[in-house]
Amino acid sequence: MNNVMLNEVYKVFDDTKAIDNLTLEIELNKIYGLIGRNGAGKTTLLKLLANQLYPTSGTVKIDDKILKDNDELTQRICLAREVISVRGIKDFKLKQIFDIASLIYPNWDNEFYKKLIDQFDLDIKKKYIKSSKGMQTMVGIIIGLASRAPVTLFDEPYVGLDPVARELFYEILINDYEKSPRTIIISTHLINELENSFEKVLILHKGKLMLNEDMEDIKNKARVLSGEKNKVDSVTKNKKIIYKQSLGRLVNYTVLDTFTEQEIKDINNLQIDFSSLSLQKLFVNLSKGGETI
Amino acid sequence: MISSRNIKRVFFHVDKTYILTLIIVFILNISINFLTNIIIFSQPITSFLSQIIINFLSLSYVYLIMYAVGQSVISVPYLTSLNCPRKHLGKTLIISGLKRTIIITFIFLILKLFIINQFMADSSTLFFIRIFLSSNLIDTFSITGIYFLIGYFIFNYFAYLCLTGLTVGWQYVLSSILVLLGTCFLLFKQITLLFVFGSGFNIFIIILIILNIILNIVNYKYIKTFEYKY
Repeated sequence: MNNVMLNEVYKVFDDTKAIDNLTLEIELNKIYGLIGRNGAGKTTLLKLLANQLYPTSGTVKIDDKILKDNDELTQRICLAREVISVRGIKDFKLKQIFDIASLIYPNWDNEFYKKLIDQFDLDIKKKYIKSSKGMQTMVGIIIGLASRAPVTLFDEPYVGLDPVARELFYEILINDYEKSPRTIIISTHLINELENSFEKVLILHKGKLMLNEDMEDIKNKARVLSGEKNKVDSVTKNKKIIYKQSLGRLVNYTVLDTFTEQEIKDINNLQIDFSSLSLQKLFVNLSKGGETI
Repeated sequence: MISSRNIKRVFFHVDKTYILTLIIVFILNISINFLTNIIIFSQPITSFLSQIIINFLSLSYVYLIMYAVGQSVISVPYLTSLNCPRKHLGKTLIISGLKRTIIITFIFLILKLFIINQFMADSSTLFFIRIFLSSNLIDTFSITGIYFLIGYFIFNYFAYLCLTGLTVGWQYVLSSILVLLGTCFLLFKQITLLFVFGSGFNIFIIILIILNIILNIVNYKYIKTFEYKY
């Protein structure tokens, strides 16, 4: 299977542009983090990738074939949601919901499913509607993992989960990914908990892609420079500054760029505070700055 | 690729509650009728048989409505959310509706051949369509054909209403119902003549065939382009 390609994709709901001219290539067998504020278009993007929504214009391609109307490609994708919204299904017992999923996903791993039920300690005789919010999220997680779909998408797979269950999910996800690599995209707001699992990060803002970088590159490039304004300005002349904060003569610049050893020496000589930045802080500053990189 | 059998098994998960409910209603109705007609009022057996047939006819159409509504409102959106191939889903839903109508029609044919034709020919207590009571074999097959076409139309029309509601908005469902009622109102005389005297039988059959084909195409298109917006 080749990479997933989105080419000039727009998705419009009534007057709202949920996805705005998005061009993106998703590499295979990597774990992506999809980050964005509420209403940024994360769920819409996941649904477009899962062929559950069709683009208003533009194309989504897998294997150089257009995903729309392609049943074979659609079956290779699984979008695990944190909640089931279809009335009627909510009244089903969890076992029935898993039985249905096992009938639909061609690569469903029944052994793995049973193991996950034990690990998450889920009572499958319970009705979905009577299960707690965390248990409902677990249903989505188990379907996503046991589907063994080559492209697995998780939409906020933590809602209602306690820290122990969340840690368990991250652990299972990574172990399973190592055993059988596949393309995984996780949309999340709990950036700190997952940033070590991500290989690549996508940041969406108002339907536009603000960042598409390797996690390693982000770790190397994301920096905060704090000091006197004229000194900080002099060392960040040709750098990508994504957020500026000033307090009198002192400034804080968030930069996403590489620095040579000589540049770092100069920064130290000028007594500028030069520190790295977490993904969460980068996302916050990027969203506040609102500049496209 | 997922098989139609698997999709049908999912349909059955939704369907079994309806089947169970209707079986219970059927048994309750028949038991009460048996008690009142036969045991208490000592009426002839034909009166009890007519109750069985009326119950079967009405409940079989109710079942087709429930099947169309349940699968369109529950199975289609849920299976789309599980990335079930839409074209396959559309074909399977239309064919499963057709199969159920055929099975129900077959049961009706047996009832017509072995109960209505044997015990109730020329009886005026049961049905108001003259042709319905005829024991002539050609009339039997004609009435079976029309029973099938009406059943399949009911299935298709209710599936169409639900899919319209889900895809373009429930306000259009009201318009669709009003269009159907308006048409029935305009053709009231013809419909009455058809049911009382059986006139215009062939035209009625042709109209039903055309409507069923159109609704099949529209429903398939709806499912094929269905977007899971929840």
